[in-house]
Amino acid sequence: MLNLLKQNPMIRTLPRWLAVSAVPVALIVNLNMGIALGYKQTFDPLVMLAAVWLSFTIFLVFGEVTRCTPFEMALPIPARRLWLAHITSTVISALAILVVTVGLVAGGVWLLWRLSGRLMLPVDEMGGLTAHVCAGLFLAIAFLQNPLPPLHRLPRSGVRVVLVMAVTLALVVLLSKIGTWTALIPLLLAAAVGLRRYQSVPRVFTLFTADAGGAKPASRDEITAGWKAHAAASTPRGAVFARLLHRTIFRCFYVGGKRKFSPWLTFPFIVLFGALLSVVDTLWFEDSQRFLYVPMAVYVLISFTAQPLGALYLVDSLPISRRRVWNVLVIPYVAALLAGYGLGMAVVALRADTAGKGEVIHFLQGKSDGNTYLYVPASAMKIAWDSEVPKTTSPWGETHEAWSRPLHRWSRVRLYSPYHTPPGSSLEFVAWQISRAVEAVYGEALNLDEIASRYLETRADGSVGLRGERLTIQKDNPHLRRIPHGGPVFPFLMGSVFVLWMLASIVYMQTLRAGVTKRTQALVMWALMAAMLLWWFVPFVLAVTHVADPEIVTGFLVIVFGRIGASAWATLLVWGAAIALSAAAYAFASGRFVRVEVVREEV
Amino acid sequence: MKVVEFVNIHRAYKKGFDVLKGVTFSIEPGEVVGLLGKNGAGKTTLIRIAMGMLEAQQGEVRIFGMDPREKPIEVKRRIGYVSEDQILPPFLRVGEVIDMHRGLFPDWDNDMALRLSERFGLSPRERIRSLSKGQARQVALLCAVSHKPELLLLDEPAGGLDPAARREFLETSIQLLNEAGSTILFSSHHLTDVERMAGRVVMIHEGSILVDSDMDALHEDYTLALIPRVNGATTKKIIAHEDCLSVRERSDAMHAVFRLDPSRTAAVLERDLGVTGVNCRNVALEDMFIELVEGQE
Repeated sequence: MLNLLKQNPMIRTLPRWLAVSAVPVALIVNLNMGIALGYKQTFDPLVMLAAVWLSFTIFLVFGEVTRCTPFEMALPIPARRLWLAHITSTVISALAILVVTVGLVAGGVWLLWRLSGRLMLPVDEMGGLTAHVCAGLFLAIAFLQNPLPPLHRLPRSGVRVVLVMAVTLALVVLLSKIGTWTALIPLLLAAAVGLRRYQSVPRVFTLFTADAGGAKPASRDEITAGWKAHAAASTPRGAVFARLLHRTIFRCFYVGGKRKFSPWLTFPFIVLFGALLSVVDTLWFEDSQRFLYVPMAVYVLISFTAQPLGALYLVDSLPISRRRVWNVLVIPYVAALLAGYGLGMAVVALRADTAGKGEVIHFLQGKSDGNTYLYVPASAMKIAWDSEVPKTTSPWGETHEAWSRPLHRWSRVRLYSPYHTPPGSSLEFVAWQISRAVEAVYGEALNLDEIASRYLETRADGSVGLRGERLTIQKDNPHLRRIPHGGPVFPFLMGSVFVLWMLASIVYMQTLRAGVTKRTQALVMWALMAAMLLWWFVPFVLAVTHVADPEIVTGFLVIVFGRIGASAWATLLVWGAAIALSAAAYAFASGRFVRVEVVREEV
Repeated sequence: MKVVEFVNIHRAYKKGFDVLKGVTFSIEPGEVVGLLGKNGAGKTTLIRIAMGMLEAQQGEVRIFGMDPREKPIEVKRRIGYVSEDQILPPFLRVGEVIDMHRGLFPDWDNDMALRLSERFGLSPRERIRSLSKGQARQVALLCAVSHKPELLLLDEPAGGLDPAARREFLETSIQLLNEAGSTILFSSHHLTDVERMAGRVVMIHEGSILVDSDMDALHEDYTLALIPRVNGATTKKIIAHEDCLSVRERSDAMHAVFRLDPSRTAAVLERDLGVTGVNCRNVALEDMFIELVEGQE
């Protein structure tokens, strides 16, 4: 049994699928938890459930899930043992996805707790939820065994898998609201269905069922007629031929090789990252967060580019320019990224009534000293290039220090909030600062008296406090819209992603030559992906080690790009640099691709 | 101008383990050259270098006077290539494969393609993945020859095919060769096929050329000598002779291959080594191949 498990294609490809599905999904959850923390919001624990479900669904739809291989069928092993090995492998895969997803999310929760003292997910509920997730996954695995028990492969379609996963997810969500003990229900149901399926396993598996037989071979006359019709059709030329050729190369990459890598899996991910790189985050948070998605986008692009290259041998003996082949690999991803970006912009435009409507100005009690401070997004702050932070003086002469933070521990550049309300600030000063902050963020000042009367009060100790639970500027003034920050962020982000993607591809291409083992190729690819993951963790590490505050850094970038956007020449310069660097990286990568040696993968 | 030129070709897959160790030979227009060697001898590597799919780490390769790595399109347009492990896009229909090829090769001969399709009984609607191995190879051959290539590179083209399919495949190749006058370089383990098709044989062993000879000369000017042990001759002494290509101990006698005709071999053995009673004879290609390869080890 152990040998069967070790040889199982699901187990063998599990690390790849963990990297492609569980890791990115968990990291996206973490990133959004971090962003939500910045906006004083909490997370629903069901997000973790959704993350596990999404990862496992991707694995089931696109992974190598099969009851047994034809090779195993040829061995004197009872079908039931093969079936048990398959079920065990599926369960191991599900648990691995669960452990990796929950582990990474838990790691993120811990990191954020260390940073802020706030728990983004209620830890006490996690145990019960995990039990529900396990039981639900087992039930889904059992249900997926239902059709055609004699067949050696699992006759699953994407729609069916999604349907089964959706139904079990709904069941688990429902039961988790009732209590932890209800996890027994799907567990017992899974055991019952599993037992029934085990009993229906035949003595031997079959390669094809009777109804899956091939079509009747064509007769000589039919063949001649077919060729006559084919010859009568004109030879594909020009655009028609180019379309046939490009479509063939594209399909070779994704469905031609031994390892199918469906574009239905890859392209939605790229579109998603395109959307995340656009301003779609302003629907919930602030657009400065999009800078954090660059390494993740590169990570996904590397993993999706490296895989199809294994099928290059299918077209390599033909007189097709390697540059053309490279274009077919790269351009659709670029198009998907741009489409995602456009989609994100369109969603924000269509949801103009909700976009940019979250509260971003807070008047909260500080963690350390108990005083109440005015918080504004870093992007609304100002830059002191020489570390000289000016004091803030009100029209009536009340002067206070501005809050400031260096870009990083050793930097002379500081980001400061001229809207700071240190202890000792008068109620009028706080109201004036809130009004200025509102003007900076929304472009419209509010009446000072109204602010003072609606939101502020003087406490017994003479300090200024909040009347009510929180500052509700946006809620009370629904017409307010945050000012877009502007500037050439688009060429910067797209250029960064593209250049890094090309550079990583060049490194990977060094391994594409005869004599380099698959293991070395995989190691290089994993190393590249790990580098991107580590980079993604850099903001967290910088924050934990107090080297830099990610919010300050991204805020700084937004301010700088806003300033660049004010100058047509500076904007042109950024566009020019992004285009020139992208073109150079593309030309370099394309040149390296021409030299790649193709070794046919074993079939 | 020579169609194929290999000059001192070296290629290793691992450092220190050269698959090709300074291979040099060339092919004239219209020649049919059989490339022989054991598994791992370097035949496929050499053909892939000619196709530009692999790079020679040392030496120079010229196809039609061009470097196939520098001018891949120009070279590949003039080559037909079929290999044992060549796979056509499995999701395409036969008709689509042919459409793609006729768009890629300006000299595509539609009539020839149609003739071959009908001869092979291939339906244009059939998907490549539903074809048998032999049928898939027939599609590959059809695609390789229908653009009337000046050079046909066949790497174990009939490997894995049953005798009938192999015969059909080779007959078609020969017929096409006669029609188009193409140059052919092909590797095969079926030495009877090589004997029937090739005018010249290049035998590679452990990355080096062991024999490069016309087929006729190979039959007439190479001799297998069965040397009895009673004469005091040792394998060391025999292999040291300048005309000896290989020698090996067998139960009946020592088997040595000489680059001389039988009568001269017997005379040379008696004169230079004092060996008498030697049974010298010409042998078929297959026996020659086995003697040469085994004798090297």
